[in-house]
Amino acid sequence: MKVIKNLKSQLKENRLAWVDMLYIYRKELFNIFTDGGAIIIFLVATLIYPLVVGFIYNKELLRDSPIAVVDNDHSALSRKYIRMIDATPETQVTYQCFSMEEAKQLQKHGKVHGIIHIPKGFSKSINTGRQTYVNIFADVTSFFWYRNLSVATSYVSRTMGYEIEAKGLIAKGSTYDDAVRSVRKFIPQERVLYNPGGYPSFILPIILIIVIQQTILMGTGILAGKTSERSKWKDLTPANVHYKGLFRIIFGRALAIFTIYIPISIYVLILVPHMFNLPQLASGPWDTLWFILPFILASIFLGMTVSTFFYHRENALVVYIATSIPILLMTGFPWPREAMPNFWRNFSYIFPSTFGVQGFVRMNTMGASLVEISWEHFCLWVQVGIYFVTTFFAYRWRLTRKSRIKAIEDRRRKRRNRIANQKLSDNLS
Amino acid sequence: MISRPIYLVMTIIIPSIVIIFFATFFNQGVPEQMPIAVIDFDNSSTSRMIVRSLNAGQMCKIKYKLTSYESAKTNMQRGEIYAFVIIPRNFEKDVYNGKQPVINFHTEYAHYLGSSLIMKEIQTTLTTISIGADLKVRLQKGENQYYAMAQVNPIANDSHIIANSKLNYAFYLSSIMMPGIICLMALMCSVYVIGIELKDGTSRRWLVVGNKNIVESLTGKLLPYTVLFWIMIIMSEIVMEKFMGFPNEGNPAIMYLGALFTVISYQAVGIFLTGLLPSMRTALSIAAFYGTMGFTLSGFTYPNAAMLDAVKPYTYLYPLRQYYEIYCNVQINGLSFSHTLVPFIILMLFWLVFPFSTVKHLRYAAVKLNYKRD
Repeated sequence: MKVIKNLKSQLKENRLAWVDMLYIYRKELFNIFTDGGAIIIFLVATLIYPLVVGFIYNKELLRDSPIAVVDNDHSALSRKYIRMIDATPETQVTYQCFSMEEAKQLQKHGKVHGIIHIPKGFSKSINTGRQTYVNIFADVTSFFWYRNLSVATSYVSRTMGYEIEAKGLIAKGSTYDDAVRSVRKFIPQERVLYNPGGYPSFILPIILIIVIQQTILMGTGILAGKTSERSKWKDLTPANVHYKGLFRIIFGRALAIFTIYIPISIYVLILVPHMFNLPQLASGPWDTLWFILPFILASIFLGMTVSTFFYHRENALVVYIATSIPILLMTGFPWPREAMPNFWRNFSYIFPSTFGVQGFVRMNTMGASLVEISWEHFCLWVQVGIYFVTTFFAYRWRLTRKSRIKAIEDRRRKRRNRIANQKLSDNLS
Repeated sequence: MISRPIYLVMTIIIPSIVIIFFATFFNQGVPEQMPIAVIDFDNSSTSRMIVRSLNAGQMCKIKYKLTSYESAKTNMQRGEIYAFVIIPRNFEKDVYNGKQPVINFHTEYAHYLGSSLIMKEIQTTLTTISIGADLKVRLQKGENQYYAMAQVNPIANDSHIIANSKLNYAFYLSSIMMPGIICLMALMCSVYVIGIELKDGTSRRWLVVGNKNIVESLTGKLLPYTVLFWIMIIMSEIVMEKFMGFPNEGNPAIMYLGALFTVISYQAVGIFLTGLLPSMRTALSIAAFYGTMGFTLSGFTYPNAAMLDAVKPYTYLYPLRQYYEIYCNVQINGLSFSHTLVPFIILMLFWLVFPFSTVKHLRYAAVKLNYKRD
């Protein structure tokens, strides 16, 4: 009871602070919903971008890449090899060429994405018990062409090799079962535990998290730039009696953006994966939301800290848009963390997305529970703390009078512009 | 136009950072020594030999030797390992008795590239060991080594990976990503510099400087940026070739020309967007949205052929797609200029179609000075 009484009296004492904060909160929400640029970033981008990207990547698995075959052997065995290549899901023989030159021309002009050359004497070597080989020319314009060709040829060569060896053993007098057993002493078997869907379901969850972070950063930057532009002294806050007290301003603003991002996160991280049938092994929506809570807060405070450097609303967009792809690469999924240079690996800890993607993907795609991603969760809360402190100091710096001197010069320059304009308008019209 | 620091950031600082980032980030080329785990239920000399062979590979490094499937799965979920191999009980005995035991290796494709590489290496290592065991038996039977080798592996694959023999993955990404981000900045920058004239109300003066001709004014405005961004892309190409050692089969001059055409095309799209929406912030937001989609749609991360038919036409809206085409034709396949005319012509269409469709509207907005503040 005593605690509640204390709290009540405290509330009464600080009533003004709460009123101010709620006023700022309301005002900021109003600002967001009446600003075309902010709406595009906060709502339209987060609503449409995941849909468009999901739609593009909708065709799971890349099948039947077109390849050319040059058969210089013309034997039953070489034809069988070609048939088997054609039958694999990865490749499809679209051209049978007479010479390597012809095939290379086709590859150069992008008609085929890979060449298999079967040399003369292919079947003769096999029948006389000598080792033979097939030449494979991969297309390096995209990683997928190489991957498909190499998977298909290594599978076919291995399978045909086993068959030939077993036939040889049977011819020598062993039984069928013995022959089959002795060609493969043991069987390596791949079991795909998570994300058998391939590229689209690998990249989409990463993009979803990046979209949330980047739109928060851009949005906070745009809003700060806007108030700065409007204000007479290039202040971070509008001239209003309620805008006083650093904590009131910071909390009011953060709360406004946070409110918008509750429905957005539910949509982007829970509904969109559902729509595109992405792996959703997370134990429940509450776990996902509980994990994503510090991610959003950290993004908001990071955005607010950096936003103190934006004096114009458009600048935030220009700066952040270029960082999106490096941030995506630094999350550790497109490029393994072990292969990153130390500098960039440490640098990536600045962004909430690094932990956000790690946690979200492992939760959703790999079925990790909150226990397995507790380290990432903890790091995100640490980021919330750090960025809150930096926001505090950055706001204090911007709200002191020193930074206003620059603003006054700017105003003078603008006035000069306006006068020059006036003179010229007669000239034109 | 050095009045605002943002111009310096857009034209020089961001492109330079992008070049430095891509030049240093992929310095390893191919991922190496990625952690995996092994569960050895057999613990025989054969199974230990398999573990040693797995550890000796270039891609994998055995980080844990575990005792249960559950702990391995947890480790995978914690992101500490990319794969784990399970060697079953009585493995050695079964091999000698010809019972064909199965070695399961568990992978995940949440780390698409890393897992693909690891899967391939484990598969190859295990197959080689399997073949080796067969070979050993044959040699013990007194077969000639050459003959035995031919018997156990009758068809060998001889891979020729022209132009990227080490399978450097960075090569696939950076060669388009670096110029792509610089082009994106060119797009944003052209929207920005035209938009700022409208916003600050200086557009009339700008028109007068350009002899009251909107085409002349636009050319004068954007030309310095064209040159700057072009130089930046050329620098990125030089860095890729000299510093990162990416192969170049064709004539670099054609690539440079292609870069120039692409930059101008992006600026043309920029003019189109500003003309369509003279309000700078909306135009910039749309440009950002359009530009980032280009990385997905231009087909170098995910081939155009694999996209839905409904999506395919939209890929032509991106100059980056044509740049990728020029890059494939020239840098990788070494074709001559006459064989790559099509992408150049499409890029030229960008210059004609996009700016001229909205240039009148832009001039109207520039004279009227009716910039909406909200």
